[in-house]
Amino acid sequence: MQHLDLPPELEPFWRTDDGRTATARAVAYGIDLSMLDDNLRISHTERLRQNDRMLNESEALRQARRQNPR
Amino acid sequence: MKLTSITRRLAEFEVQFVIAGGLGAIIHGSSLMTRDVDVACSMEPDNLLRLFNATQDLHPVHRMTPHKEIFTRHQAEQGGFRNLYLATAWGQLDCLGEIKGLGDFSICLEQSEVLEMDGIQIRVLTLDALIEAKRAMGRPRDLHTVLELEAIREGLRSQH
Repeated sequence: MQHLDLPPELEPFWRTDDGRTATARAVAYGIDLSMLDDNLRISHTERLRQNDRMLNESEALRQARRQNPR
Repeated sequence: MKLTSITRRLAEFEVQFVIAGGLGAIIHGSSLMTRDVDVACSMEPDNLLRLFNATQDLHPVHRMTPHKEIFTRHQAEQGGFRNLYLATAWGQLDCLGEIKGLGDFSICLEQSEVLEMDGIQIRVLTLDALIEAKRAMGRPRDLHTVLELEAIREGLRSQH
């Protein structure tokens, strides 16, 4: 078996021989499938731009927090 | 940060590369966010020279070196890199000579598909190849990506 660096509680999600579908495994892990559906409705280019936007927004928040520490 | 622009820039300068990693996962529909551009690329000097030309005005430095040494034309001409971990004005760019679980650039090229992005063609690892690569990494942070990509693949297959 492949060596994994996963904590034991996560290893079941790595398995593919548990009789579950990939979708069922993802849902059990807590993945929000509606977010995947939303992404699949937009173009590849828009997915990339969306990542850039989120990245820059999170960076702006990080900087604001750095400038206004509590 | 402008990861999309980095990708476009590489294509415009005809760098031989295949998008992998988190950006590849996003292209295939993952909801995760990534802070860098991971590409498999040819480490031959002619390709590294194209890479240098594509990034030189973005002030590329070797971000893993203690003093953030500048990535120079001379280094590109000399070649000999296995991987390049660059920081640029537009964000981080990791150029990998080999992808774990898949192999070197020529194998990644075989396991890639072409996408059109604003009139420019870029290559990205196929969904199957990306899952294989992420599974080979086997890190906790790859688990979420693998689960998302496998669910996406299952959904796509059920449509056909």
